[in-house]
Amino acid sequence: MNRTDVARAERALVEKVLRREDLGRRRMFEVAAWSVVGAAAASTVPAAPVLAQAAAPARRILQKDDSRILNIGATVRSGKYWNFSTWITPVEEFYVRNHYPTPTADQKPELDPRNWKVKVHGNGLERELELGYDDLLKMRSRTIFATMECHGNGRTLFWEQLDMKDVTGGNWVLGAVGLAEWEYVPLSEIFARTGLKPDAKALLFWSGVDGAGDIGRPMPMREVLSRPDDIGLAFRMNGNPLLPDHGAPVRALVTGWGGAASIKWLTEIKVATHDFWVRLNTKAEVFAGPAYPKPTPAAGDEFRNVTPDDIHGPMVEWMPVKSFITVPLVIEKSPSLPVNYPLKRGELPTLASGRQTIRGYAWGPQHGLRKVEYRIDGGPWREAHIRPPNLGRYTWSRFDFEWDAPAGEHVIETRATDNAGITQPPTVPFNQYGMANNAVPRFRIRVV
Amino acid sequence: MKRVLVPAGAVLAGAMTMIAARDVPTALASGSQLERGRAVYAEACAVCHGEDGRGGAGFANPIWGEGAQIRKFRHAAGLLEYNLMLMPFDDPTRVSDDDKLAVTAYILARHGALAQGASLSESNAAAIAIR
Repeated sequence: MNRTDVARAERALVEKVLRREDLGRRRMFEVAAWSVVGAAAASTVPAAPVLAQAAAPARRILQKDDSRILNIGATVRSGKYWNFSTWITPVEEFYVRNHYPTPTADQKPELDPRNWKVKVHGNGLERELELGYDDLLKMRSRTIFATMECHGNGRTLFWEQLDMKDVTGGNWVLGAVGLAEWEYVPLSEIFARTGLKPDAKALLFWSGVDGAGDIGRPMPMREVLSRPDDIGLAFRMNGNPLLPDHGAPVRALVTGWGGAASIKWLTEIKVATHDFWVRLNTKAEVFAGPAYPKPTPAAGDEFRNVTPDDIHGPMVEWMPVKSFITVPLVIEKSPSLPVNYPLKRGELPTLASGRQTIRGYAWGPQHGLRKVEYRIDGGPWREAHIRPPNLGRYTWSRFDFEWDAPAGEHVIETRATDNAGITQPPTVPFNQYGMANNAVPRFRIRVV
Repeated sequence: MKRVLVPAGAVLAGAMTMIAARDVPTALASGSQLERGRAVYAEACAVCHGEDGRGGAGFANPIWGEGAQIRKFRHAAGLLEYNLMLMPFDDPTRVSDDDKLAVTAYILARHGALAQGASLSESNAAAIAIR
């Protein structure tokens, strides 16, 4: 494609998105199971007589509906990545990972922008600061294109490819990732007002309104200070104010790290000369397994609703380099199947034989994306075409390659390499909670 | 094909907006409430949380006893509300409110938070501490 063709194709895509058409249901795929959109297809537990009485009415857990996202369960929605076609992920297609139902200003008046405040405090600062929503909007802000990804994205690969059956957690498949344009006030602007003491050791983002008062996440100051312009307080996503499901009115934005670091419904930032231990860096969102030594807390550390015994492993930080093609993975060995997954358990997606363009996405936020390779049926690795834009470390890129698809069953694998030369591995060590699996994904497909 | 999915999505969206208006039923007598709760737990919860509440195929951390997740709720009302809204994980509408009350009582009893002979109701939930 030359530049004009690319521009025309992008324009057509934008128009499709704005018309809110069902995108990316690429005609080449004859996925046979679209009618499987019922809870019956999903349950990990068969319906049983003891539960056959009238079920409870549905309660509003999230604000978004499920039409363009994948229902993993309770408060968790993945992206239908096989439908992805845009570079920026529309908010309606963006994954949601909450620990509790989405709090709204109706139930929690402190989330109304007129009432919202964030308290910035701690012994690592020269001065405390309290900011309202309007105060924040008057400060200098930045916009950044960055992926956000759930630590558990790709957990499916532990079950389907690595035979690690003891891994627990939701079955995200590969869609708990998206790219958004974030507008935020960087921490550098906050520190310009509060001052920062040289012995500040850790920063805690905390939500005083989310769930049972146990949702926040710390970061070491050395990490914060390595890129204080790239981390901050986000108030817009793709040009619009944040939606409740994405943390309205203000959330933390920690580019490149797993989404758990970007605390939603933010109300407190604490900077201290000690470390913090909370739910999301002790018994969740950590690498728990024999390959990962547990960190040891120091005297004087701050524990919020956890104890030293709760520390199961080191917290997950950077998301590793990854890739996928826009084909739904075959779900065969996973403990659960998302309710609105397009394939039945064990079913292969099908593709018409002949010349096909296979498309995908690749990203590696720690160092930025350098190249993507693919192979068919275990053959030689070949380089895929990376489609611009590839705007530095935090963005993903789309890629594609042509394939003369012969009839029969095939396996397509993809692997991305970042600018540090790190390539997706064939396997990753076991970790109990199924975090950050970036093993080379294997897409099984039936060509007819 | 698309037309199959859109109405289904709309139905789901419609169902999601039906916020529960009805009250949680009054408690059953404690013995039968716990018996019911035990049956519901085995049927709907054990697959993810383990027969003994110490962890299973879906969730690794213990939900009652030493290191239990439910301590964070501090009182039974928080746990009951959570279960009514969010559990079972794959489909919270799969278990009735009566059964959710019973299974919450069972979980509290296993944790030692519900006194022997006591039962759980919507009205006493806020007064039952989880330590």
